[in-house]
Amino acid sequence: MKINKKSWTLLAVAILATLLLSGCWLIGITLVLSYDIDDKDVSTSAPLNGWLVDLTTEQDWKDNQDKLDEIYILYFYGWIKNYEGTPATGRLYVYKDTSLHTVADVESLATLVLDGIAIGADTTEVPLIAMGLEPIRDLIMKGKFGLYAIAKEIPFDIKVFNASVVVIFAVEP
Amino acid sequence: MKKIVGVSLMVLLFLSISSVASARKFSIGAFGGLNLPIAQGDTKSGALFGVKGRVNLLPFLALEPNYVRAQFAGKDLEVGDRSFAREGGNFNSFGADLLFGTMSSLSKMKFYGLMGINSNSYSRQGIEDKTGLGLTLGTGFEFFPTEILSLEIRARYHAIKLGDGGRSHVEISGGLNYYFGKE
Repeated sequence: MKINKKSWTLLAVAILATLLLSGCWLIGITLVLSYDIDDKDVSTSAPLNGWLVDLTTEQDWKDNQDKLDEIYILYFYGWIKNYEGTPATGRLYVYKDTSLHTVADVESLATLVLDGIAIGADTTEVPLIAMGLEPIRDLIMKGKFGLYAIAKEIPFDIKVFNASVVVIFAVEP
Repeated sequence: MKKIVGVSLMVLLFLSISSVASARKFSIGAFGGLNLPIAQGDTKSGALFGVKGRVNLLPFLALEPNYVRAQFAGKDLEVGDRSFAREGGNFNSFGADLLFGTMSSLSKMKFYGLMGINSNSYSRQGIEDKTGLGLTLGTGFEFFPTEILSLEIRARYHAIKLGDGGRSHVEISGGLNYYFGKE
């Protein structure tokens, strides 16, 4: 069957229109959002408190929260002071809120997103480091979650300061 | 009489120039250029290179399988009062484009539009490699200094689906093609 030039042109336009209508990813937008968290002392000698990371208070998130497609990466940056004087191993956990107040609850109910943070005997800078995203992707998409920092060694007494969470995400145009 | 000879010579000259271009069925080529991320807050432009073949299917239609490797640089991330240099990455794309235009014209120049589909692997330091379907849309211009060689300039919009999101780029490239085979 011979197909003439006009038919090929119409077929190409039809295919293109179908793809454009079905694929918002064809015009993907990627945004970067940095969320500062408060300085906090965390130790086994006091009730544990996590940070409430509320991305919905950030303008870029508010403008795009109904057009979110994908969370590409979640970073943590900060400084950790170790009052114990012996090296420790830091861990970050994520939970749906900040209702957890013991190390045991955090370890059993929250999701471990970063392990093996080497905390020296004094003050350590944690450079921009990616957190494990896959198990918590849906939670992050909601825009609010609890972030917990503990150390593997018991007892521990640390202070997290000058810290931020960075989210890189995709939105529809 | 002199006028007739002059006009005839000019017509012959014009015909001789315009009939240099290729009526060959196949071509292979290499190209290089610039990869420009579109609406991406965490990446900057980088280089690209690739290879391709072409088969003229109809006088106005050609199929072009291609491989492209495109790089992109990372944008610095501002976190608090610190600025972090972020690594870039690259993607490898295997696919095919359909070209619409004067594929078998004997003119010295060809213009065409293109659209295509490809499979992509997207790599960036610090995150898992991702694969995704890609679509392309673009246009190109080709000039034939000889019957078997052409110089080509092309601009191609390339969208890659990654998870539920997507990343878009504009690829601007220049290249050289070698033609062979009879129409």
